[in-house]
Amino acid sequence: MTLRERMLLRRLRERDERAFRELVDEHRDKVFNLTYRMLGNRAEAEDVAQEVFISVFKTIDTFREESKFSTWLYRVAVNHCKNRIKYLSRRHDRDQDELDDGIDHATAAAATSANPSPRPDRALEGAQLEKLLQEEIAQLEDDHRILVVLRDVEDLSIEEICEITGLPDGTVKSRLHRARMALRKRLARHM
Amino acid sequence: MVDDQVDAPTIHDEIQALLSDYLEGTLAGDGPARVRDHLALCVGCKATHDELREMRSALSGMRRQPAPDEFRQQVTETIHRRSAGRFFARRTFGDRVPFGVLLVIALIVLIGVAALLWSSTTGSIHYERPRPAAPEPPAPIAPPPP
Repeated sequence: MTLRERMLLRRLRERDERAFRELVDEHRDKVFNLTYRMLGNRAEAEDVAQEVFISVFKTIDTFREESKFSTWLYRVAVNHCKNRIKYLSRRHDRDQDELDDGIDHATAAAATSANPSPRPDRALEGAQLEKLLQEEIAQLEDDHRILVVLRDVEDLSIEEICEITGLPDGTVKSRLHRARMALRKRLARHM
Repeated sequence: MVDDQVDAPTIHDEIQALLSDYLEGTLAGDGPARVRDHLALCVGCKATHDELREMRSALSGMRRQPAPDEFRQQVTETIHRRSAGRFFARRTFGDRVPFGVLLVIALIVLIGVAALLWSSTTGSIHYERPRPAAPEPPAPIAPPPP
């Protein structure tokens, strides 16, 4: 942990509002991307990301600095996502048609603008593939979804995933393999 | 033929179970060579391997979704609303200064007071004012010369 992070933590523990703003600015995209990929819905992702930061701020005294702060933050975010997924499934509110069309348009636009010599067909293919991936990730079992998002989307190491999920190394690897095979099977239906 | 029918699925299952670790590069010993040799001969497992590799590539290439611009303001407002402004409230002196520091200061003060009492000759910390010297008796007045 860097000196700057330690100073920020100290200020957070003192309930410094400016420190909280700095924290949000630094990690909001990371947290939002994770919640969005886990939930597949922009409004839900935004709501859960907010709850993550509120929880972090409330419970900052319990962070013992034994792990990286970002790992702890991910753990809080994953737990919130799991709870929200359970809540939504209980309410039978996981309608995948609610996948944000706005984001899909933005994605297509970003795909086009990211390429200096865009080929519209390729850009659209990319956006469609991303939409398809997002939809199929959202259909995976919760445990599978978490691992695929953390490892293959967020590119976290197996060690970090073990810390975040509290699972042993072997379990993470075997479960991740099953999750990938399940996702591959689902995607194969579209190909 | 019978042996092939029995053994082949077992080998494929075993190899396919290793594919994730193979792609991650975490297989130990002769594992990578075994998988590689099998993939060179087995079209089915090679297809699974290629699909997994492409899928991982597509997943890692998913664009990062930035949080909305007003996100920070929304979180801060939510906190203020829920805590009625107490969440970021200025902490009291007792909250700001750790208990240990207060204890040490209290001990130092107590030791100081004890030392003062101990060194006092009267057993009191009251300052004893020096008593005013008794007035000297007036000098006898010499009788006036005759």
